Amino acid sequence: MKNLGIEQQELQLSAWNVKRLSIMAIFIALSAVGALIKIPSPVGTIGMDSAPGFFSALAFGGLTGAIVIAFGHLLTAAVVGFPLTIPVHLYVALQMALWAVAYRWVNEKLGLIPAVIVGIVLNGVVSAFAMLPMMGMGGVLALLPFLVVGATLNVIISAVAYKAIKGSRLI
Amino acid sequence: METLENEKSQARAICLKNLSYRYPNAVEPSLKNINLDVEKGKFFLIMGSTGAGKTTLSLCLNGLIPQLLEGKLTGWVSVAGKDVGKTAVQSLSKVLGLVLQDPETQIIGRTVEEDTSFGPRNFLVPLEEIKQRVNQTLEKVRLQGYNDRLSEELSGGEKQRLAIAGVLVMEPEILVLDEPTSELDPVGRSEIYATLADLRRKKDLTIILVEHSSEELIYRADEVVVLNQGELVWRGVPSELFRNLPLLRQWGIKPLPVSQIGWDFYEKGWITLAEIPLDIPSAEGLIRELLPKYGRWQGHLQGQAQRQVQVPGQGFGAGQRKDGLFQQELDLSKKEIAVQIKDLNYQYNSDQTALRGINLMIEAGDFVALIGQNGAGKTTLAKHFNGLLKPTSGEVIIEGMNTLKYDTSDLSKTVGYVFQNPDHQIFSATVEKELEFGLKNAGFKGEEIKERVEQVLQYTGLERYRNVHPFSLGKGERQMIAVASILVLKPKVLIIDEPTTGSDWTGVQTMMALIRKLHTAGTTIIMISHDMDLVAQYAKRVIVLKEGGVLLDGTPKSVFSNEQILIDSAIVPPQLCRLSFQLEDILGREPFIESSEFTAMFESREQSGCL
Amino acid sequence: MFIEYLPGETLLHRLDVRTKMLGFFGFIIISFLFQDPKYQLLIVSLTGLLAFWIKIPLQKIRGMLIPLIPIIISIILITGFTFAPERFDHVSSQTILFYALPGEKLGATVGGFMMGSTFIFRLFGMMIASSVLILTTSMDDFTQFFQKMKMPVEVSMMLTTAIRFIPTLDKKRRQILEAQRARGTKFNEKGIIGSIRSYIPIMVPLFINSIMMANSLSMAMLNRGYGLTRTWTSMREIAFAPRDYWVMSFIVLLITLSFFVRFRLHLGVL
Ligand SMILES: Nc1ncnc2c1ncn2[C@@H]1O[C@H](COP(=O)(O)OP(=O)(O)OP(=O)(O)O)[C@@H](O)[C@H]1O
Ligand SMILES: Nc1ncnc2c1ncn2[C@@H]1O[C@H](COP(=O)(O)OP(=O)(O)OP(=O)(O)O)[C@@H](O)[C@H]1O
Ligand SMILES: [Mg+2]
Ligand SMILES: [Mg+2]
Repeated sequence: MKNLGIEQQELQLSAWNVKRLSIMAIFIALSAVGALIKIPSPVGTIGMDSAPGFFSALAFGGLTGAIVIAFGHLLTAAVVGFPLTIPVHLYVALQMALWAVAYRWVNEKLGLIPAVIVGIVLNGVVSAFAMLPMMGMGGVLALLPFLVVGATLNVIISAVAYKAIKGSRLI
Repeated sequence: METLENEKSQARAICLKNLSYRYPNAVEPSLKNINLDVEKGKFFLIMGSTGAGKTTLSLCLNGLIPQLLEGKLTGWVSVAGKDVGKTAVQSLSKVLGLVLQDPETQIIGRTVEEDTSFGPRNFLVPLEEIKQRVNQTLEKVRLQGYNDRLSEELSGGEKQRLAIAGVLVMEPEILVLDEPTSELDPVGRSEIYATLADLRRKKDLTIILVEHSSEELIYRADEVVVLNQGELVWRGVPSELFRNLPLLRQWGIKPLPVSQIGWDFYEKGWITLAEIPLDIPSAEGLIRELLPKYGRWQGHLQGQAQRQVQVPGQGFGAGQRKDGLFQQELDLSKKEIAVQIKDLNYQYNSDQTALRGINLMIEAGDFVALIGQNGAGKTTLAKHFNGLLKPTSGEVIIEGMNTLKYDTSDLSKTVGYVFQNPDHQIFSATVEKELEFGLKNAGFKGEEIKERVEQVLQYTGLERYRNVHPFSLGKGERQMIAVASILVLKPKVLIIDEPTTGSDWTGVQTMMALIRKLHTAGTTIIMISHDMDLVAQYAKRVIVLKEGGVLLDGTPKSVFSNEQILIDSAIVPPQLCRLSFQLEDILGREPFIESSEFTAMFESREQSGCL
Repeated sequence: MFIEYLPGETLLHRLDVRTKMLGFFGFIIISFLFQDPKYQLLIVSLTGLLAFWIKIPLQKIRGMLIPLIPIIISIILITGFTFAPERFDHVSSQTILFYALPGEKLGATVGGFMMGSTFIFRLFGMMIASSVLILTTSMDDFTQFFQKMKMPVEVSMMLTTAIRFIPTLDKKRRQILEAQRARGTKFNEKGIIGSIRSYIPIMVPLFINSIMMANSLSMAMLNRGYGLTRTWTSMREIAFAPRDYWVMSFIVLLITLSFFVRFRLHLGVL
């Protein structure tokens, strides 16, 4: 009995934590892969890079979702060489993390459909205006349609997928 | 009391007492009251049908249940003297290494060396020692010199061996492997088994192996444990279990083909139970011994014997005539061609030629098996049939449609393709919706959809799961759903890529019965498989691929009679074929592929009056 | 691989990852100091030389640029029209070229267009610099860097695992795509609803497979002792060589010089 106690003390990460970590790692990787799924739209091709993050927020909790979406965004950006510069991408990543938490929170309080609307508004409209100091009104107007369509696709797909998978014993 | 238990378990590698476990959201327990002792240095085989609880049991052994998976666990597990319930999984990994089913997700490192050193690094083993251990371990699993290879670029068998290396490098006393060979070709499989045998000899390792197939393991394993619906139903020496065919059938374990012949003799009262053969030499000996006594072909000509079997109950001359007639019929039916391939070459972007100079013609209504070692190009060829891949040069014509001119979605109405992993296509919340999806894509409406779904649900026996979420079913059922979702489209040509990997024997039988039913109804079947017994039993034509080209092409009998060529391309002919090579002086050149053919040699002994 | 490492033996390859990181941040600072497109052009050309030195694959650059074209055009245009003349220090920049609307409304300033060009050059420079950094630094070096920066081990483990699994998941993506195409899924449906309908069959299996993969990954990690201790044996210690000190001094010098030019000489503003 005694030496068992010692072994428990040595342990740094419980099994549950390791599971959380591997879920985050896999879904971060999935964000980068999602960026390769190119959906054609009138405003250009849209990637599925934030859907994994939004999905994780619903399925595994706000914090997990926030981490996945933020690191997912950074990793996706890193792959193409940080097109909007590293500081801007950090700023975007932080915003996305907030949106993921909000998405989860509204889903808990009001249900999935309000959450979807909030998600689209935050990630589409608010995110575009958040670029004002960086790119000026020009950048904002150029980004707005792209972000709104992107947010709509990513948020809705994450919600539909969550509904489809919830009934199984996976989550 | 507890100390006594502990002392007793010191000598044992594994000790289970009244172990029961129920998954968090399951109704039935998956393990029921299991008691088992495994002595140090033994090689145990765990067998049982799908869902019997084999994986669950192995997860209990290293504490993943209940530390990672919650649920209700009662009873007591001790491994190498440690109480599993009270020791962290991570510490246990030093004494018990568990290799899981899918190698892909167990490889954590980017390169072979990085992956192998992952375990020791967590235990803060000094760098120099890690280097040394890694090299030693890689040598043990025959991956020496692979240190800097990217793990992503390894072949299936290499990945499997790397997964074993990853736990071996931590120098455990006990190694538990959960179906480590399910996707490998026969030669790759033998290599893994040989590796295990090596390890056991050199390191006195206790080995617990979960497997569905058994031919090579019977003499390697010390004991077999059979699980059935979560209960431990049998324990003993393998040879005893494999001689008892009714028991095997009851538990859904595949019997050895040669023992099937032996069982027949046993039922006739010619031999005792203990004499039932389990390998080729003993079966050969037995047949040679019994043939003069009970067989009716003693003294007959070889050629005669052969034809007699093909057309049982017919005289010599009649058989020949029938053969000729059959030939003519073939000529007539050649008019309808399902697949025609001309000078097909295919190259993946990474300038690696996967197919070279393939010319093939497949008749409508045929049952073709594509075989060949891992990486021979079977899947690559099959993907050309429905236009998923377009030829680099040459052309593929399916039911009159050139795949270059049609999109896969158009071809999908004619060519059905069932992939190996059902989880790549299932996405709906109920089985019924999953089946409707393909029909909606094909543009069918309301009533028609309902009717077809209904029909296929009945045909495949999935009716009772109609409103169930596919992912609350077992893998075997999901495989069936994947097949059903293709069948609703009523394809004329059906391609099935390794439909039975990881299924138990009962599952294999159900699946093959379904495929045979479709074949009889006129569907052209193209099946890719590593299971040579199935190929021999079901296919009408066998095509062997090697390094992207066609090596052999013909009826199962003619293909499997080229033993040497097959072995050079990593294919081991079915056991019964090998048996008939041994008996070549009696049976002639053409091998037998079904046990009934062997027993037929003895059938009409009363008529021939040999007694 | 997804994030390629371009093997080579140039100085850039051999430099310590920390030196390269310093260089990269120095580059960002300098690039944000100057507004004048001429200066930006100079910076871009210099980074271009670095890229040329390590023989960067050209089609990679092209692949990165093409998706950005619409944004580039709109940034130039809209910046040109929306930057009010008062925002520029120099008189020449305040000149108004023409008005977009009658009644002297929405004037396009010279400075506005120049500012637009600066944005664009800055973007190019960033892209090239990031690529150079990523292409000459191996994954191991980045992991070491995270550790040296005292990032928690969990984070660096999470990131390295994520990167390791990108190719595996990408393979899954391709397999799922093939499986659904074989069932007749079409990917050219119109409108947002159409797009959602045709991509659900891809995304749902992808999520499901990811969850299953994460489950067995956590088992595999536990099986191999992960989490027992908070540190692990380092496979290779990174260390500064003399060349690193030389290069670092050079970078610091360059940054100081830029500050001098910008704030003492007041050059490079608009
Ligand atoms: N996560 C889970 N939640 C609930 N039930 C589960 C879970 N995993 C497995 N089961 C159930 O537990 C039983 C035993 O499953 P297990 O995976 O141990 O079978 P197995 O013998 O390994 O089968 P196979 O040969 O298919 O690998 C099955 O009935 C299965 O449906
Ligand atoms: N997407 C791909 N890109 C590059 N090469 C590939 C790809 N898929 C397969 N290959 C290569 O083409 C060859 C043939 O592969 P294929 O998958 O057709 O083999 P197979 O006969 O189906 O093997 P298995 O029995 O393992 O399924 C192999 O050498 C493989 O490495
Ligand atoms: Mg199992
Ligand atoms: Mg294959």
